[in-house]
Amino acid sequence: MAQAFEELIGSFMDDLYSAAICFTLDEHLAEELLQEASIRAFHEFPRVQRRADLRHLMLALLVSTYLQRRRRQGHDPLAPDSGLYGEVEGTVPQQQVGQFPEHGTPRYRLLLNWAGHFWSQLDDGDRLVLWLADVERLRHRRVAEMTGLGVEEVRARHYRARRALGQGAARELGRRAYGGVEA
Amino acid sequence: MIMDCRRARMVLWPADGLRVGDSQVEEALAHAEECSGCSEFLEEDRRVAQLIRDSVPRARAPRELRERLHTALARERARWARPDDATRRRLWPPAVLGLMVAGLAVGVTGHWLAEEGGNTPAATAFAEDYLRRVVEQEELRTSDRQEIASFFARELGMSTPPPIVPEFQVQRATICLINGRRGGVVEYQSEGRQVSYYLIPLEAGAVVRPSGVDARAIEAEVDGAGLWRARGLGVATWWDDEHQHALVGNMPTSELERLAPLFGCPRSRL
Repeated sequence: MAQAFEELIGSFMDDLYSAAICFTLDEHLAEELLQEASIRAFHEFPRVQRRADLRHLMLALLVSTYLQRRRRQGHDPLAPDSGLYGEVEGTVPQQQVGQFPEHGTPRYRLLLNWAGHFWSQLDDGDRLVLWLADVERLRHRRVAEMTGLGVEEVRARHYRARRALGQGAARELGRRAYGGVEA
Repeated sequence: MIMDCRRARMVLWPADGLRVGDSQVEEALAHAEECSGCSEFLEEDRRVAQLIRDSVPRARAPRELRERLHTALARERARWARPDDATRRRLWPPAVLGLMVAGLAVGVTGHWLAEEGGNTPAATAFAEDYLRRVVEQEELRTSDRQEIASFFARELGMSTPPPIVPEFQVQRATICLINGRRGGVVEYQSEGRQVSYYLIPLEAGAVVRPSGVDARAIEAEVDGAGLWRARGLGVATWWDDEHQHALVGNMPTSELERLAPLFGCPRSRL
């Protein structure tokens, strides 16, 4: 690859910094994490053939550095969790359906604002999986490879996080509708 | 297995995900089309997924972080390079000799390949990949061009929506491996005719071949528990500055030659 390492990672920097903030919920820790992952990626760079591979490598190293740091501090974000759902539920909460406002409307923007804050309320491990599966749009198998979890656990965590956000959004919409705070 | 709501939701969740198109998925999709509860479940899941993506907290990396990172990398580069200077001085004669031998081998092989078949190995590789895909490869189902563009951006580093070609509908997208290079494949259908469009990014600095369309018929004799049959496949290949393109399908080469500019035209991607 003709481009220099610094030039290439510069083009992903905002995405990776956003990911690091989402994982750590702290700007200072996010910067440290990104710096450490970048130096690790620098040593792997000679083996990278394409730009897309470098982005994937950087993301994988960001995740692995994050997990190592948290585990060294005695907190494993992906510790076995007995509260996980084994499978996708067979019921759909009917009261949620049809309440979602249309994309781009003022109500949707209010919901977006709420959802932006909701990320920080998720379990650390679920937040990590949600980012990888929904923002990076990695398949469950790839998330499993990156995190060391089993594919079924990735799927269960992903489902739990989506469901929590969906239910929270429905509650928020209900609260706004009944509280007279409609935009 | 009987497809009930629970089973269908398990198979089809996440609703916005690309999935392997097998008989189970077909059954689950058929169930969801008939079942309002499952349709609503999947529709809500798609909306939640959209909300998640739209609500992502985005931040710009501060300039100080970029500067600090550049400094740290420069330090790392210097630290990494210093011990190597001595090592390089000791090792360069055998290394250069090795490179010369390897270069000679590559040159001889390249010359042999060029003499042997011209473009034929490339066309055959596309035909083989097409046949392999027909019976066994993973198929990712979506007709959403933007979703395919995101998929290619993530997997291949090229944000290229599949071309819009009159009368042809996008059916599936997947990743292929042609002669060691990863690329994207989009399958199209039109009135019972199927054609696969391959787009293979070239490595930076690769020598670009002439851009004219080379169409030829490949007679592939394929065996495999009676599943594959001998067939005449048409393969058209061409190059632009950044990609190798190919169209593969059960069509006469004259038809592929007619279609190639429609798939290759940049305006068809808008």
